[in-house]
Amino acid sequence: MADRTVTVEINQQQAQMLDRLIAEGGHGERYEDVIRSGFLRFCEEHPEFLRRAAEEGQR
Amino acid sequence: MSEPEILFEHVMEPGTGKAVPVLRGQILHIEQLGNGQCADFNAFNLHDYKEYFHTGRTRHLHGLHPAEGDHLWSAPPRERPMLTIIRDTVGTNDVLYPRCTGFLYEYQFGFDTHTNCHDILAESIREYGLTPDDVHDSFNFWMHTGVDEDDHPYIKRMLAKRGDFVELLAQVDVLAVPNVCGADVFSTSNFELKPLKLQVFQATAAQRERWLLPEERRYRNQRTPADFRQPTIKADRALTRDDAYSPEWPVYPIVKQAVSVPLSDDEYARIAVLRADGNFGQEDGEIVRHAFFSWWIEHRMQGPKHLHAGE
Repeated sequence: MADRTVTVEINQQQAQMLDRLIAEGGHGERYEDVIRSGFLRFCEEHPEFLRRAAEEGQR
Repeated sequence: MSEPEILFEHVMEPGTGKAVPVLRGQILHIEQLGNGQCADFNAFNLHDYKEYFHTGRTRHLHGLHPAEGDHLWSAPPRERPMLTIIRDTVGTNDVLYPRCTGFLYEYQFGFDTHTNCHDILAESIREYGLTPDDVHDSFNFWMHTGVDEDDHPYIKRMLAKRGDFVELLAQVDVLAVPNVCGADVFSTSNFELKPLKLQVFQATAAQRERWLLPEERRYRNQRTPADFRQPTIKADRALTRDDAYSPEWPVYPIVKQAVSVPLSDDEYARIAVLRADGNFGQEDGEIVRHAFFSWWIEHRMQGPKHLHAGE
């Protein structure tokens, strides 16, 4: 169950990019699944932002 | 291995250039006869001069210093490799600086007249009926340049020596137009103008096998005049409005839709982290969108990414 909902605006061209990911499989069946999946993967692949935020918090 | 048959040979003296046809499968060889001379370079489709070399697309796809293996691309909307650099004994080329002009030497140095690449290129292409307006931004062979910490370009000392050369394989029939760069008051050619040797010869079977691309366009958006709504070249200089004009934009209107993305509290907390970074936007939705498309670029986009995540 989601705790939060974030509204993301996309246009019809960006929707085509999502359609391709849906067709590819592994990213979810709906736009919200695909965007969530890409967002979380980006965060996982870039731990430097989390690290930087933690460092800032310690100062 | 036997020497290739030389189809054309010419020495460009300082202050000069040369327009030379190079057909698909032929090689243009440009060689240093002194120590360190920049060659500015234009290229036109030999059968349709409105297709010409484009520094911008070349820079986009190969960076500021294209080298061996890189292509010289034609301008949008044609956008296909016109020539390929198949040999480069130095590896310092530039597609950042524009050609030097008479204006530049007057404005910066007070010269009434000075050797400059624009005028030399214009005089070279006049042999084929082209005008000074047809000269375009140049590929600058051997020009040794960089970008400083304040993002300003600068010119370094030329590294090429006598005997250094570049070889370009024509992917289409071109009018190639190299010239001896006229800049003797910059370090472009180490403050001295020197001659350059040009040769044209046929590529060997091995070179064709390795470097020559298929003749067909690979992408639908590598367009030809057959795709143009207005294929006729204007022959007069004044601009007048077409009263019958009605625009047909490629994609219009742009329609937005809102997607509600569910996140857990832990996942939502990552938005705050990216917001704090300052390079993803301020609103929750734009931060998620920026991160999502950054991921898409990193994993699905072909060619150079032009993205530093979070910058």
